[in-house]
Amino acid sequence: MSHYHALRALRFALSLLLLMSMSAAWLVGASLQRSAPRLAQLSAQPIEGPSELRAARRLLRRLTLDLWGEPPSLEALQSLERWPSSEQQLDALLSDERASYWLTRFHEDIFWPALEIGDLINPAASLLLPATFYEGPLGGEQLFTLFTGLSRRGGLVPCLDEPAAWDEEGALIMEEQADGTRREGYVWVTPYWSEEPVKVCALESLAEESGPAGVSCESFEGLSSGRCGCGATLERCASIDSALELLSSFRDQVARYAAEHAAEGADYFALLTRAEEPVNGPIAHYYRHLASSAIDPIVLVAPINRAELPSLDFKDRDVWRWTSRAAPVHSGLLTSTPFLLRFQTARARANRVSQALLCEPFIATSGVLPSPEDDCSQEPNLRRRCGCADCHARLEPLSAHWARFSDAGALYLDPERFPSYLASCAACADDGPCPDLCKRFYVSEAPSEAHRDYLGVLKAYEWRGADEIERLEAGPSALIEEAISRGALPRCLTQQLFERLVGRAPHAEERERLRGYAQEFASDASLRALIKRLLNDTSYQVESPALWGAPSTGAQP
Amino acid sequence: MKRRSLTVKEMNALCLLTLCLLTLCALGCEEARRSPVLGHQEPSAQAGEPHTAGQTAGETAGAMSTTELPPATRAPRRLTVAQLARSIEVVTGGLRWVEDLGQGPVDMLTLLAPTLGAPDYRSVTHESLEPSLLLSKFAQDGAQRVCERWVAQDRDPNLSLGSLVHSEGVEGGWESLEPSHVTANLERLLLTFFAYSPRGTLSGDGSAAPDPRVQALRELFELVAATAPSDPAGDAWLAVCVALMTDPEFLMY
Repeated sequence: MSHYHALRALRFALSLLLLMSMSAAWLVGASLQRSAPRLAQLSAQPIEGPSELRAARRLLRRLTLDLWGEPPSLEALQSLERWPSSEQQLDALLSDERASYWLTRFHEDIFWPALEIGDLINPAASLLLPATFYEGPLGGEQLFTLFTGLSRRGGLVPCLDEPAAWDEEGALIMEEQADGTRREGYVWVTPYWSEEPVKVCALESLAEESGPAGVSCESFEGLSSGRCGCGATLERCASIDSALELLSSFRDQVARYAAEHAAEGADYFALLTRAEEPVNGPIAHYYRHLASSAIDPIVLVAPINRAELPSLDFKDRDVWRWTSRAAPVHSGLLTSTPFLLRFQTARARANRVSQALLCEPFIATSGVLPSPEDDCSQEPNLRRRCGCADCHARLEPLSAHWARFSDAGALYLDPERFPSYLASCAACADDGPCPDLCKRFYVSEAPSEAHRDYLGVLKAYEWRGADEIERLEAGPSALIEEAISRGALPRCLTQQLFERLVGRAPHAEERERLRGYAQEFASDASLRALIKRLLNDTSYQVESPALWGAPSTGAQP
Repeated sequence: MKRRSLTVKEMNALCLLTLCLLTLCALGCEEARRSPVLGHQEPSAQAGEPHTAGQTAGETAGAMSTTELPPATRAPRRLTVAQLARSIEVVTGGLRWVEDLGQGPVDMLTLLAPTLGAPDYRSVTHESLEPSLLLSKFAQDGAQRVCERWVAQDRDPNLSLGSLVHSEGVEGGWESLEPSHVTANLERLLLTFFAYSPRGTLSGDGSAAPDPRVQALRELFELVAATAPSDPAGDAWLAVCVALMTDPEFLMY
């Protein structure tokens, strides 16, 4: 054979070799694709042989880390006999109390339950601080509120670290101090949050019914007057510890919603539509005693009527009761106190739902906004203003579902108390001055001619047409019903859960499978069934070659 | 039948055919890689909220789908801070990384959680699970401290849960450097830390070849034991523990 022929033969052999390796790669890929039904068959069978055992143990580690947030115990790994993704095994994993890990994280990542003390109460009027807060380490433990100090003691100061005294006529003795303030002593009170008595400044320990000019002592005005006090068990105020307990309870409320609706046989979507909310001791206390003085953000009226509140003690931290909310438009988590206070405008609420529950984010079509000098930039209606319309044409109708819940707060704007039009708020725009109610909730200024048409209208109704007013009156549950019926909500949640478990976006063929899962989810409304389908999906079961260098499945051990 | 050798023309034709097949195959693969992406372009999520870093997985799907298609397997991920804390507890039998910074014991992973990117849902709404130098540094610190306590506790007969070294019935007890004792414990630790079944006694596959992971740990154990100034078993098990606790296979799943 000539040199030329030898070279040709070598090229041919190399080409053949390359073709064979590519075919092998294709075959491996194809066998991975075919492994879905094989895995499903395997999952019902006992584990056979060392290879399957290796794969099953790795799968168990993924499952417990994803569902429980921790690896399996050595004992669980050693005693593994059946595929951990079998129906029975998955049920056992999901029924374990540690499965609250994935459920809580999944819902926290969607609803972002994070409040601060200032979201729930006015810190100056209702938060009891230790004297050390003002006077340093030598200040003592006696509790005081800043506004009582300001209005009664002549400064943001606590009382003296000595027992309080009263004169012969029963009046509290206030001593003049070198710094110009007047201060009383402390008393011992057993507060609602503890069995142990605490030192409280005598003015804060008052338990009056009404303050100056008959103002209620449960209101912000009453509390900040310094004439009311925090009540016999300090119930109108919060210590730092009790406020933190409250924050923690509202965060846990999201987990309670999730746990209730992810249980076997539960209607998951009711999480977003039902009228009741879970209430524990701290939340019941907040609604009964503290919400009425929360004005900024405004809570003012608790979502549950006092008569309906469960009789729980503040210390009943772990006792939860599902309780009906008063307003008919309440919609599960979407009108819960933690959601409304975390997302403090109707637009922010609609935006979060659109992104996290419908997977429909707002994207402007153009990256460049028109000049503010352009005529179209003067358009007051954001649905039509150029540059804004891209998002607001869709956002405003969505936000209408929350329009009966105040911005910068969680107050339900009850139509009886907040009618859609108040003539007095229209009149004060010209005659002035407008009361706070008009300035905060009603259109009482007209910066342009177009605004004059809305003077006296509840701001929630401004610029809204008939369609949006219908949405406004129906509340967020109508949005959810519509999203379920068009499939957007089940599809989005299915994809979110897939990406959480598999760690990446789905491929085209996976999208096909996810569509099927989403349809089943829409039909059975079972989050538990959905996660079981996803955990049994090939894409979850096949371990990445990046870990241990090779795919690890029962089919490809 | 007499075999005839290929003529130059025939070889050229075969080469051409092979190259055509290869080209078609390559194009097909490229198309398969592209089509799902081009067929489903989702917009990346950017809306009015200030917390754009807090997009959930579904919201970033669009952005991910425009990149190169990963294989159809579960993508490996780093443990979250909460998972890491629980993992250390589970594998050690209950130890946490605790330090006294002057005001009593502090759980360090709770303290460091915001630094390590755990979400508070106000300023951080999404826990990035990308590999991170910061996490690697603190995992190293934590492993060192937890492993020191683990070794000290495990070798103390009054405190030991026997979670690091099983030494019942072994001559020399906990301090034994006997190879089969060391190997058996290493195999068990690999199973505990990584759910990895070494080819050997635990998997029961009767493989003659030593498992490479066990072998690597054996070499580490023996090297440290041989060079330890005064406490060969303690130093060697400490090194093994730190190696396991800082291994990417432990920090990922």
